[in-house]
Amino acid sequence: MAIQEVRVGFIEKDIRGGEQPLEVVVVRYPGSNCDFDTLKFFHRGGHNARFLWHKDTIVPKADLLVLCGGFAFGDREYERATGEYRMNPGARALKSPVMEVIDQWAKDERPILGICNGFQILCHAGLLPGKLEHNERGKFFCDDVDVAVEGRSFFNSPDLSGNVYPINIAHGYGRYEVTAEEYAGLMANKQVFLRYQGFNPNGSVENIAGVCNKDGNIWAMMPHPERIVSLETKRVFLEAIKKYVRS
Amino acid sequence: MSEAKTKFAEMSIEEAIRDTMHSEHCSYKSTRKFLAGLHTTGEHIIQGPGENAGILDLGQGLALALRIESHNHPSHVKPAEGAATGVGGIIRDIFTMGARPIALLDNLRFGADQRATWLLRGVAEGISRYGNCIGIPVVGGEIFFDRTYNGNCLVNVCCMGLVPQKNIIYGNALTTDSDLIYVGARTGRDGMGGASFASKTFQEDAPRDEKAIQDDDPFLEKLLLEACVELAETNWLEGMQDMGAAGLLCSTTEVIHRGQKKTGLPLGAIVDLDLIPAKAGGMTPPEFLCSESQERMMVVGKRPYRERILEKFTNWDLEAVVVGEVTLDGKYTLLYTENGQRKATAMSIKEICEPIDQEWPLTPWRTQGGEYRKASKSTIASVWHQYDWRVGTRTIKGPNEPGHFAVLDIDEIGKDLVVAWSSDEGRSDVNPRIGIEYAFQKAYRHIKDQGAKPLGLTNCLNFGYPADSMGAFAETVEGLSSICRQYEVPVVSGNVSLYNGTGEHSIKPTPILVMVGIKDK
Repeated sequence: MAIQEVRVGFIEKDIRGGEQPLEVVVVRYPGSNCDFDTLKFFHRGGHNARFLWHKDTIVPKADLLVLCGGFAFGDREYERATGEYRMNPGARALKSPVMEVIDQWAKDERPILGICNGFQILCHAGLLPGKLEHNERGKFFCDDVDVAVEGRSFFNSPDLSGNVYPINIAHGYGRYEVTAEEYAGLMANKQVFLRYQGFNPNGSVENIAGVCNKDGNIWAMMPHPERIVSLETKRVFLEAIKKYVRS
Repeated sequence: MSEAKTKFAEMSIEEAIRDTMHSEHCSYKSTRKFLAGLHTTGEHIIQGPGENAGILDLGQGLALALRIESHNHPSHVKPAEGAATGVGGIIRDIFTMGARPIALLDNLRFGADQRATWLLRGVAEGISRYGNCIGIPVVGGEIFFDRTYNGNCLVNVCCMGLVPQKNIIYGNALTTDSDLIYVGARTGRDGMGGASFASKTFQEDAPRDEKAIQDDDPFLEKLLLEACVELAETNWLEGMQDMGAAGLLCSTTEVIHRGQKKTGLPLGAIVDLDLIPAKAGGMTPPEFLCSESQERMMVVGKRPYRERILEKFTNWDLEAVVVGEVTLDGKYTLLYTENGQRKATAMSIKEICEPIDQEWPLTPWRTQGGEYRKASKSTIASVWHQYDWRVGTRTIKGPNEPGHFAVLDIDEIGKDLVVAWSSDEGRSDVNPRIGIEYAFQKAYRHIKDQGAKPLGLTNCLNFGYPADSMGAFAETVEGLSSICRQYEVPVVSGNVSLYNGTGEHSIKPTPILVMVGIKDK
């Protein structure tokens, strides 16, 4: 598609992906709006990334499936009679044909990365525990916030573990909620891999910013790794994914 | 949706057309002759004022579409919806040119009363919910309070987008037999008469008319954006025009009128109102013509590509219908059903689009005085935190750092875009000419301080009632014209908003400038 070429034609030389680039597929819903940013994130790391349209049902040949940020279907649920609406981010994405692919991918225990709206969709789909509720202050919030990597670390990477990185968040529904029982389970399996540090922007329980599933193949976070400003930090995040996929 | 009768329900087609096309909003009848004096040419200008947006050459085959617009009156009545649809309108202006929007700015003014807090909260919410959903970062803006805005807040939103030069789409039809394709939201009674609403005071036109404010649906706009940007990659289109103020009427007549001027051919159009997708029952022809329902586009498609164009819209789950065609008879022919009978009404395009002028006395501006206060740091932060200012990953300097400028990464050509905005109603209130010169120099300095070369600017001229503000308006435009010439920074696009005031009192002259420059990394 020519539009993609315009957006992502320039690969930065400082963060090459090495000889074995990853094959990445980014699911594109009509309201995904971090779709090009996410492609660019992988392209600039020297990886191959392409879109998977939400109406597609063929399981692609790839190493990693990414559910990117945005408002998959606008997030609004309208009341037919009154025209009033309420927000329910990620819910309608479950009705997309591509859900078949995601389910199959998860069943095969292959790696998935969910970012922001992708996290919300994965929770709705029951592929991750908990839910993402309206921010405590009732407003959308965007800023660079500090997040600490812990638990199994981002894609099990020892290189990131224990570090704190400033990463941009931008969401209205990022307050992660789990039951006490679910939280105990998450902790026992070290599934919480990312927490807000110093400032909790949305009221998430226990400052949780990112979790993985029990099997450790589905990873999701509210902060946007594709928006990381520092080239070095971008490189270590991409490297972590690559090592995980190649191991 | 409101089923109540609108003022258009009882009008004849001819009356409705005249009423709408002669509104200040559509005709610029009071300001046209002044604006004609603006400096609008230069080596970087690909398209100056007169299109949906201005276009500047960024080099290496890439261009920037740029425009600012006001949505003042609707925002004062229903702040969230008013501001949201304002954002929607300006975003459409950009992608109508085939450009992918990359940044928004919001320049806001509120009164010094209690209502100001409520309005600001609603306006920020509206901008936030629309821009965030589509994924266009708000990279800057400003908030000021002044008592002259007590009865009339100002919501100015600027949008810019990138377009490869070969993809630029203009708002015109060029050949006979081309399709007129309606796409997007269905037409309803919302936003009925918005064009004339924006051209009157609240006081004279039975106030707080909520019917004149449209509903917003950013998701639908996002679908339109993606489909239109994809179509810009093809050679299937002859032109495109968004349905904003005065909706179907304005968009169809405008593409034909521009086409006439461009080709010299006596182009005309046939539009079948029975084919327009409607969301309200029993709408009359004038209502179809003048509805300002949001998120609609008029596409001029080349006939051989009809199926492919429609297929593109279907892929994005959009409703698209061929509602008419371009003719060679110079007429605007409307087909419709009335009392069970098919009818046709035809008027000449020239007559409909004939420019009109309204003269006002150029009374010297009488200084209003009084406090003019910038919002506190915490207020400003609480607003920009609601905007997604990093989406697109181009934001190098955004609202998180102080300064009335932003820096955006244009990695496609290895350059940075510097955007600066400025206005000074305090100085403009004392002397409109000095005010605009000062505002220009401030923006110019920001661009130069960043080491960038200024390319051009867009402006939103917010003024009060013509009876006492046209003198200030004329001085402002004269001042802007001469300083633009002096510094060789042309005007590429703009917007005028008159009739801003509280009771009998006009707002202070509030011309807002947005200048862009480019620099090497």
